[in-house]
Amino acid sequence: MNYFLISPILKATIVDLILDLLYFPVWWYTKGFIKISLYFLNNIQKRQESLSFFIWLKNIFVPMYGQSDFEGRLISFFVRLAQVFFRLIGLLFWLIVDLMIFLLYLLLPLIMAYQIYFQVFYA
Amino acid sequence: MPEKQTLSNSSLNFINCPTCLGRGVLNNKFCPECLGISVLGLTGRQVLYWGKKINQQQITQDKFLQFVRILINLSLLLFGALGLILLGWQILILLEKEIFLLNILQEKNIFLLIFWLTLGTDCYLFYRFNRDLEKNKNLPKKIYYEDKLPTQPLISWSEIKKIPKEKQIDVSQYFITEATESVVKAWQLTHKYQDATTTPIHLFISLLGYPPIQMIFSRLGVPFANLKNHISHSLARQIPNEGSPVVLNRQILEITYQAYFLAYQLKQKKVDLTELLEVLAMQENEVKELLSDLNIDTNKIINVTAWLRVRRQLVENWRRFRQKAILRPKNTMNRAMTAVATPILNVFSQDLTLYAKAGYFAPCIGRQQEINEIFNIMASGTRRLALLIGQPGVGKNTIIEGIAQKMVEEDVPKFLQDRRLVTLEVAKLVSGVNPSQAQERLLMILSEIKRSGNIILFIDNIHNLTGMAAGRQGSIDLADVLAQTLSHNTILTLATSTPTDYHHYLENKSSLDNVFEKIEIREVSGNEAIQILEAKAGTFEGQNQIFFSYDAIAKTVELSNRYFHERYLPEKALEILQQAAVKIRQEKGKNSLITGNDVALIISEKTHIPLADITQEESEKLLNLEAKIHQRLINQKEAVEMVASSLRRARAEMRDQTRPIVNLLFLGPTGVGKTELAKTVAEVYFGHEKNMIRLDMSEYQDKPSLNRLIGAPLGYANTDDGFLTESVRKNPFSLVLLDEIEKAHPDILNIFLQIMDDGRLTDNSGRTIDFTNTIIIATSNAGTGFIQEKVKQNIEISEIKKQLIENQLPQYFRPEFLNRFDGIIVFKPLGLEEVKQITKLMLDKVGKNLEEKGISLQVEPNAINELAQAGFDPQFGARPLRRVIQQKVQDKLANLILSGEATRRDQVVLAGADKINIMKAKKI
Repeated sequence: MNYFLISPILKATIVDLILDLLYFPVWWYTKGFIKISLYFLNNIQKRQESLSFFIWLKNIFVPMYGQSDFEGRLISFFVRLAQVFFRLIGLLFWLIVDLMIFLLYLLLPLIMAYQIYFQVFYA
Repeated sequence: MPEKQTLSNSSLNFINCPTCLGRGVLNNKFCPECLGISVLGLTGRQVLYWGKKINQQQITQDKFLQFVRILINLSLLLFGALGLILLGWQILILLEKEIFLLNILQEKNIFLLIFWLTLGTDCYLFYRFNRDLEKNKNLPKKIYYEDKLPTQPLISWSEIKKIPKEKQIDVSQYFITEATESVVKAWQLTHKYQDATTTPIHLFISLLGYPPIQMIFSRLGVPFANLKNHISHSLARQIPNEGSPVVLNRQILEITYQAYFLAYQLKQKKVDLTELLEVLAMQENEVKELLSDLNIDTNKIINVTAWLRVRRQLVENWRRFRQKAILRPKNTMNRAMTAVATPILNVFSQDLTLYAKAGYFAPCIGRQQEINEIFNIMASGTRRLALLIGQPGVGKNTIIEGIAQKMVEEDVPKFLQDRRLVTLEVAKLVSGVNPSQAQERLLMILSEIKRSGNIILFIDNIHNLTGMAAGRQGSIDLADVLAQTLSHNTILTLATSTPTDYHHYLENKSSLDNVFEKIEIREVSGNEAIQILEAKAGTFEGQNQIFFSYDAIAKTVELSNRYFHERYLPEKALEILQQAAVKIRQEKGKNSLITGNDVALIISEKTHIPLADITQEESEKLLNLEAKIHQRLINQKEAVEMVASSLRRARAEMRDQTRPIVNLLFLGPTGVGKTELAKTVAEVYFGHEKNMIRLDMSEYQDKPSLNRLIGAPLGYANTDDGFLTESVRKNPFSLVLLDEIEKAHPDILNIFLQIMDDGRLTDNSGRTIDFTNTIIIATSNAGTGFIQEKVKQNIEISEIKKQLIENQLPQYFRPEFLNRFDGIIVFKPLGLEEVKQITKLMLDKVGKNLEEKGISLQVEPNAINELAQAGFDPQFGARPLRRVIQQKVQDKLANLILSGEATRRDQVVLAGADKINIMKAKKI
């Protein structure tokens, strides 16, 4: 391969790498942020679906097993209330876990930068 | 100024660079106007262009960049791993010192510094992976009713620059990596072969290097050597390069735009290799011609690429289905827990949604239109119950199973969500009880369904519910009980029936008819049937570890459609496919390819019709058919030639498929070989002379005898099936011999007008009987005297025939009847010489019978002469000969065998008509 071919290729590769490196922080807080937010929302939606939280909440006054007499409705209301409560706790647990991942994404570069500064410069 | 032509969103237009006229180069340099992008694609709303630069420098640069990229990613990965190890180590140290873990944030040492640095590089790696994913864009989602959106007018090249950036689409960004790579490789090939421009043939060679494309061609059953041969011929015809830069030619650019457009229309996420191949085969170019030479038309390519796409889609669907199915309850309760237990219903039914959840049903392909129609009916209107009417095997139950699967995925309208689809089993419901108890059961079940509120009812073959009345005839039956409840629209119900059963038991007869909205489920055909089979073939392939070629699938659809009229697609074709899979696995072993010919052989075995490719041996046999027939039949050259050529036409599939194979009228005196020729035809074409339906038309001389032929209409005392219709229905591949047709009643002949013209007939029960696979031969003695007289006068047989048709036959048959025959053949009366030959044939048969007993027969010429003389009668042809041979030869031989005079190994010599000598064998 002759010099005339190698030189522009090397130049293009180096420019590509530098641009890539510069774009990295910008991407992290723009496109990357959108991506991780969507992932977070999607995850919450999935947790909700698997826990059927809204189905229970929506039907809180609907009698279970078709027992539409007064006693049936009363018992059913309290059972559903308990169900909604425990499912809400489950949902909150996952919400916190996912939120932590989300926050970690946002804060990680800052923590990291601080730690490097701390390790190198802090007396 | 004339108004500009407006573009459509459903088609693609191209516009050439005006400077280089679509060539891309000008005076051995890139065109200054278009820089090599010689042509653009225009849809109604976008401009398409190929943005990826392809030249030697770019290719090397891309390769180098790719190498550097992998190198960096690997280093980052290793560095990241090192960081984790260091972190683990530091944590262990902290734990040993019993220092609180969070204090690690306040610890200061070189290892932790490295760890924090690696965390930074990990983030960078995460960013790089995501960037790589972003590079290949997903195609925009197809907009419904796109054709109704405003479109741009057809613009000129100079106006392109005014189009906003977001409407200028670089199609190369939407190609999967392999697809882009295939175009680059095509360019490299052009460079290597020093051709002027990259043409479709270069792209074709490049595509052949990828496994999915190789699979397509192996499915098409193309031998690789053959393909290579054709390609090298095409390459030799390319224009050599004379120093100008190599560019993608106009056709290649058009192919890339069309591939993008096709992928968009097909709602794909990216442009795949299959789209490139499909478009390549559709465009008028050298590749299309090359493929056509190999007997691959565009249609075949489209169907095989569709096959690949369907397989990908099925895998994707299955993944999504499994994800969704997890959410579904495993029992009869709904997710909202509002349903009521249904113990009685559970005994008499099966839960289809539970089966679907367990993955019990095969996927439902290409029935979206019918499913949508069912949903529409159930969503609104006065009748919210749907009755699916279709022939058995067209896929009614598959549609129901498809709905069950959609219910599991919750991909259904709101009123069907979180519900169960339950099939009521009528046989269980009525078994072991009297009608009133069955009604009681049904009422309880219906009450449970109503109370439960989460059940969609399905009743297969709903007509089975009619006729089970508790009281006297005419009182309320099971169907009425059901109809009364269903008429309130409180239970959403689906049901199925066949057109015949619906007509017999429901239409205007049962109250059920009024509560259901009917949906006709039609039989699939053509490409739709092929694609259903392609989707289902995977199961048989997996079970038997064999592969179907495209031809095998297409032939199955074509031949089963042509030869099995009693059953329906896709079921009948699926059955053949399954049999082929099992048979070929047994015969050829694992990983064999099933070809179209294999399928033809299986159908041939069932129908006794030769359908497989004509072998050398068979083609010789067909070309020498006359000689073969003459082994059984003496003289009658013209008749034999006509029959032989019509059989050749049928075998080479050059005949009209909507009429019987051939309709022939044999005329001539008795005993000249008319019936014998018919028998020979049955043996040659249908495998055995037993495959012949023989009707003695002298038995049908009066009008009422028509009922015996096609069955009497309902209401008649004797409503047996007709002899002709029933025989042809059971054996559609037979020869129909109508002996002495002139004796039949004229109205009966009218029936044959329709058979001979349309190839079908409707019997007394309304069934259409297919005659398109029969050979119809009518024999007649009409005009015998005339023929004999003219033959005596030594008039040419063609002249006799002419006069016979003009003067004699109209006395017996109407002209339109005679016109229906493909050939009217006059049999000549036999002379003594012919009778001698027949005598020899008959004595040969006697000899064969003796051979089975270990006795040989030698016939002296004298015996033949004497027997022929005794058996010859100018009026009755060869008929008296049989009697003579019986009396003078067979009777005597029987006596000799019974008396023990002729035993095994003896030789019987027939020296004269009455003279039989026995040459005893030497004793051992």
